[in-house]
Amino acid sequence: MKKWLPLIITLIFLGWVFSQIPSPKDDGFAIQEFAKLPILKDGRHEPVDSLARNSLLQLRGKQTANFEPWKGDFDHPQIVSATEWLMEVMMNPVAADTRPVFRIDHPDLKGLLNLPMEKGVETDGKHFSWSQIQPKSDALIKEAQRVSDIPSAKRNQFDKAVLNLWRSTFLYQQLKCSLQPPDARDWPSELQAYLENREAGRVAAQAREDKKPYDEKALNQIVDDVSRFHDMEHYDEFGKRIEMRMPLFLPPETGTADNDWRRTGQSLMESIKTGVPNFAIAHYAVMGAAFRANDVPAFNHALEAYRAELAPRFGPNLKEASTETFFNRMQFFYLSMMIAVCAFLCAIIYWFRPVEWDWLRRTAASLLTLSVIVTAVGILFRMWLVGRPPVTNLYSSATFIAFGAPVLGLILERFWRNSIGVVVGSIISALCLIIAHYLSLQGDTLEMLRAVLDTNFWLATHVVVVTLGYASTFVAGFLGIIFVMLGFFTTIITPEFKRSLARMVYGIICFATLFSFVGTVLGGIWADQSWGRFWGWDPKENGAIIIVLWNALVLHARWGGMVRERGLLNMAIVGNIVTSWSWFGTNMLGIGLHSYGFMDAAFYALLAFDITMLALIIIGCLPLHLWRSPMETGKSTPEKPNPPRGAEPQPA
Amino acid sequence: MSRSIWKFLTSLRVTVVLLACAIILVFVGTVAQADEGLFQVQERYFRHWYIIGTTLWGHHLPWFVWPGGYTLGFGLLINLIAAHIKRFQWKMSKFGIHLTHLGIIILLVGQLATDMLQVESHMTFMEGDTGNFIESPRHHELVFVADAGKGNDEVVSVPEAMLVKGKEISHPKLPFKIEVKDYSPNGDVYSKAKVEQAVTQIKTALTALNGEFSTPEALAPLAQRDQENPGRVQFWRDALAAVGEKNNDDIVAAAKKVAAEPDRAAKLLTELKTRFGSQMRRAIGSQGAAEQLAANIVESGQTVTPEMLPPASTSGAGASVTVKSQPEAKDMDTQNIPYAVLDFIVDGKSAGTWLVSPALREQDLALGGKKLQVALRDERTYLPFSLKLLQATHKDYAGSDTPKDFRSRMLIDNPGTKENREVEISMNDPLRYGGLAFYQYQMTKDEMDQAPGRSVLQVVHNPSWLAPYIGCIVVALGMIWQFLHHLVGFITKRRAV
Repeated sequence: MKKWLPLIITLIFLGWVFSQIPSPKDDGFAIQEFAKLPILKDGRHEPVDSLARNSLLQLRGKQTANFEPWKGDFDHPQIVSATEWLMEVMMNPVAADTRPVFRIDHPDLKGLLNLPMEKGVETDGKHFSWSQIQPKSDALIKEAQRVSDIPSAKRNQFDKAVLNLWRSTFLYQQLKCSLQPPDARDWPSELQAYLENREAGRVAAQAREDKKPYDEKALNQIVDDVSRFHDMEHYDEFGKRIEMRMPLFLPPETGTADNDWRRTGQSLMESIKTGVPNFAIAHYAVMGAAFRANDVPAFNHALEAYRAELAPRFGPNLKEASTETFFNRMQFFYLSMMIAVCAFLCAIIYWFRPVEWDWLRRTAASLLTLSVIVTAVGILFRMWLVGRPPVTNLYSSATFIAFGAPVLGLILERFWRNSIGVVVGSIISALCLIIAHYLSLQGDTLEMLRAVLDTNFWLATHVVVVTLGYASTFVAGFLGIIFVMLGFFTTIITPEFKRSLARMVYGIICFATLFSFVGTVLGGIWADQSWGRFWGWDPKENGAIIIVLWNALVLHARWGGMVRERGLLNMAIVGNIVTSWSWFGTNMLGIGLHSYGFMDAAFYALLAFDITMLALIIIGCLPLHLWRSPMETGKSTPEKPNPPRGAEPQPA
Repeated sequence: MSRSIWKFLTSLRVTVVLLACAIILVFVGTVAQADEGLFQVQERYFRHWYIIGTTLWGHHLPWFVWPGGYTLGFGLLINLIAAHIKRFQWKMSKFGIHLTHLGIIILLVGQLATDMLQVESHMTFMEGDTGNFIESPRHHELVFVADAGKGNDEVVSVPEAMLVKGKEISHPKLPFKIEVKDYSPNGDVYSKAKVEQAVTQIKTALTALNGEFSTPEALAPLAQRDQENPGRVQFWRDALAAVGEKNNDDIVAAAKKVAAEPDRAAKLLTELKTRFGSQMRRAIGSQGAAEQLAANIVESGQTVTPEMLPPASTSGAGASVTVKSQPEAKDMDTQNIPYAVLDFIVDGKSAGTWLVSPALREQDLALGGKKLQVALRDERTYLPFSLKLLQATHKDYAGSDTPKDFRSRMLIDNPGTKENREVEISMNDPLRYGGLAFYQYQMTKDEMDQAPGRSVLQVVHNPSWLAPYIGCIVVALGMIWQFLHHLVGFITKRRAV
């Protein structure tokens, strides 16, 4: 039985992964089909689904909308998919305004907006609707204006909360005017009326200009229409200043060029001259009216008609959009994180009964293998979607470390068979996937690349190799942590165990030195190719060179006999500080070509991580008689440092 | 003695200490960039022998003394070479390590060479422009251009370094001697019109201010408006204190209270006007020399008179403008604009003084029977070939402001090699030609809006550009060698078991 347990457990998890594949059925509106409609956002072709998910992430940090957050999880609150929420926002804004989708935590901000602080009737004190915020929106705008004048490094928590909420409400307004004027009551007939009156209105306007008699009604109507359309475009105009451009919902009238996609407001403004708005506007108008009237067949029919019209010209876009919708729904990185956590638990429990429970170790190893495979599938899917090498931004570097570290861990596990490799691999993998989750809250993770980064060759070599360098340095560092934790607090570590840990760390640091060095130099060559200098002392470059220098220092200290096994393991923990600083800290300086923007929350997380590491190093340096594990083999002869040979792993 | 020195030089301990020092140096040099700027950090930390004083996270640490990039670089280099000589053995098992270290020596030497030999300059084009020179924005030159016929120019160039106050310069091609009357590496050149414009600007602003603070009824709403702005709140508190209102934490309440008493209200209005007025003059005055002068003029209630604007020189464009020396800017983003006042002496007699500066155009001279143009401009180096910008392409992603592509289609015309061909330069894809590398410069949104159809190429002359490529390959080969050697050993051992 025990022989088969690992396989059975892994198969159960595999079944769980596969159970996510079939897409949920729609009984009413064809939400899944709507989710797969192609749009263009920030230069990228994506499905409506991605827009909906990313918007909700910005508003409330989740990919679904909870319309009744005051209900407990077991009281069946009404939770709807991101697309369903977005459909309501775009097609029936009056109803959407009452949905509590804005998450507000800061008490002063709630106070400013006069919102309930605590859980109460129909409120959970955390999520609020636009109708609740709107009465005080002037106060919010005033505060946001004040904050935007403060340099980002000097903003306090309240300031940041204000700015965040203001951006969320601005995004919400943008979405409301993405498909039709937000104040439309019966958009199809209003659109019809506008088109019929357009010529008469133009003539009237011209007549008034020429001081001739004119049709006042026609003029008033067209002035009205134009100002409505102009209001829709205003949100894009203003968005230019804060890098929040509106999505382009309307495919080109002819051809397929990216530059011919249009916003609804933009196309309506253009139609004042041409008389023909984009063909998709009418389709969306019919869908919107049916959605409001709760007329399911009419909506689904209109959607079908629109898709059919897109099919001949936009076949590839439709296909791409539906692939991305699948990728969004699968949430590979979430699945692999859950599996990695389970693998971690199994591996830890194994240590309590290392002899009898070997099946648990094997389970842990095979679960981690599954987790790595799921991560790899996610990364491959992502590569296929963006047509890029695996690492293109900070988010993907986190997922890539979440792939690289457990692979190294599994290799260690293969040689040593003591579940250490699994523990280290799974914990780094899970942590990095959590980091990736938080990074995904900052916006579209499949974003387009700036001109200077637009080269697949260097992304594939420099970035991948450097990221592998990060991953391996982390693996060495976490091995060091295991040594200190187990050695100081438990009696598990034996001198033999210590020796094998030191050997693992030594081998991995050699590996890390190779990767970080080659990666750094490749980065220099890329810089030489792009802007004419091999080395410019840019923060990210400096971060990379510090890792190389640190790894080189550890190796030389070992070769020179300046540190032994315990010293080596302690130095490996320092590697964690160095790498975390290089990976994240350099982005927080807010300067340099590589900076991705100021991440304040991450700053404190990084600080906490580094302080923990320092504490572990201090513990690691405490005299041996304070340790619970027996470190010395009695009166043992002082070991001779054994140069490079130590790299050779020994079979268990 | 020499033995212990040798032992020290080849010691692994020294390697480790040097590496540790280097880590601290790079770390400090990175954090300090937030306060000191990239350019100054490069000069002061990495291209220097030692560092005294630093600024970390906004705290100035004058006691921080540390070896600089050159010291550590040379130290590592000597340590590496010495250790190599001492430990070198022809053994397969060591060959990888030797290769690795040889590669690192190449990298270090290459980087030092780059530091000393690399010259950066740029070329700026509008579409259709042809250029046959590169310009260095950090160095300037004084030039005299004479028409040599057939569309060619005869150029006499004087480097900026020779422009020292009181010095005399002569050149056989020039029919006069030059005496440098004045020189400053940075200065403001401004005309009467500019000062008058600034005076009007300040006066308009002051009128608006007086309009706002005209009646006691306006006090409370204005306090309400200003209470969100910490800078302005301080002025209110000072002004309130000056009229004897001590309880001024809440400026709105205090303003209401004072507004109710006509005498104090009038006094408060005057106080506020004075304070905000002088603050406004200070703010505008700090924009430049012309604005500073304008602020002083407004404050003293004078009008602009010719005495306030002494002409910079007796002849040329300088006769109608004034110059004022400014401190030299050290950071990377601000450009210095030097100026010089020159006296041209023909046959022992002064022909008048001229002002030259990159802020002015070329000026015509007709001295000693020769027609010339004089200018102080960015230093130029002429190329044996010319480049013409045929088309500049700047693209953003559709529906976004993220730059997608920058490229320039150029025509190379080299009479020496009879080349006349088109090339395309884009980001990540430079042109290497004639010992120079031409890179596409990515312009900011503002730069593109200001001058559409413009393209800037960064031009780098770096004879040691290949060193990092070679070094990298050598190191990688060494590491792979070592890795494979271990792997083979490991597998053989396993087989044996």
